[in-house]
Amino acid sequence: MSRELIVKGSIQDVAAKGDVALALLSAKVALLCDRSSSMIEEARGHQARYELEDDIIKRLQAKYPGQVALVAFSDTAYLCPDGVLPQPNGNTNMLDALRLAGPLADAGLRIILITDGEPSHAESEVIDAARAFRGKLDTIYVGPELSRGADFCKALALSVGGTHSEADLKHGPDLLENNLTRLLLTAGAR
Amino acid sequence: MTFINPYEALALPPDATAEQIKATYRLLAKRYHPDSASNAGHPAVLGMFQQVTEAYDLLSDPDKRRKYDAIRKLLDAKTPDVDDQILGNVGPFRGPLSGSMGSFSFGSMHGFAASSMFFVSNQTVAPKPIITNKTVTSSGNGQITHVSVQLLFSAQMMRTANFNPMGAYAPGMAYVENGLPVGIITRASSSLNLNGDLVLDLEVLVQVSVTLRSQP
Repeated sequence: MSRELIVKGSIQDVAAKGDVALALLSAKVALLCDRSSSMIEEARGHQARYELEDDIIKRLQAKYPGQVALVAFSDTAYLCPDGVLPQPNGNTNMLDALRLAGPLADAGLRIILITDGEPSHAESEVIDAARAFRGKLDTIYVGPELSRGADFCKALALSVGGTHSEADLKHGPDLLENNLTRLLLTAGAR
Repeated sequence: MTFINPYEALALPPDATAEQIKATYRLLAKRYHPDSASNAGHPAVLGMFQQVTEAYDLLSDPDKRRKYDAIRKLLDAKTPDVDDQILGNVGPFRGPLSGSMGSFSFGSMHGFAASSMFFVSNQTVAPKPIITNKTVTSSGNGQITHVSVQLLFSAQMMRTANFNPMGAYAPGMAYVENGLPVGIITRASSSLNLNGDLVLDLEVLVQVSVTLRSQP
């Protein structure tokens, strides 16, 4: 798989030759980015949902260096300290994403889930995992309107005292960027 | 802001006890304290004092240490598909062999252990290099000493060990001989000789009271 090296402003970029774990502790938000197959669907012009998402997240990292930690999830979840998200493929394993986000939430990072779909696991399991967090979980739904996924995202955020917003990438990628910026800026001085 | 691995700053293994952390900090803080007359005029030493103090602040607080360790664990966790993505050029000889050597500080590079002589990854005991040259230069006041050390990792040694020595000898890290941290690496460079052996040239800042011992 060909990948870019390191995105400007990403955790690894800021850590430079130092300790990435320490740099992660200094971040403000962790974005749990859905990279399941459905993110390949065309959203606007000739761009797919994931491409629009990538552009926005790269801009955010450059604008707020070292403040944005990334977790990608599809069949499994993993950290992307270099700021590069993988190509979409596979299922929507939100459970694994939340498991991985737990220590980040515990360290004080605001956790924001960005998805266009429903979880591969039972919804109750995912909500239970989110409730185990120390802190809130915000959700941003980026799929089509009036879907079961949007309803679930809303229920998930509300169950843990977080906020929910919808930013259908097909109609307005700017909305996603605005929502993320707002959450980032209100994540609190650390 | 520099992000120095707190365990490496104190030359301690990740499972160090609170007592070990405290004792090591006291030793290093005394050695690098800015008020010490022997450290006057050595800005690099003052930076080290700050490093060990910051490391102690984190590791001596159980809550901070727990959070830090949990994130390190996330970074250390590997899946076959993302191994290369996360580790980048960490693997042996996949990265450039010259220039700065400090870019290998996460993933399997965690685990520098002062209790063993050389860097130890999760599963692999690092091979011992051969010290091919060692030159000691006093700074003039009789207190601070620079030591140039040349280490050789044979090509055969590197083929049979899953180990990247460059991550264990980066500037700012402790230089350990026979299980004892004896100084801080201030400069490091690497090259390959004609036999394919990896040669590391290090400059280490030590105090004159510390005796460097040659490898058996």
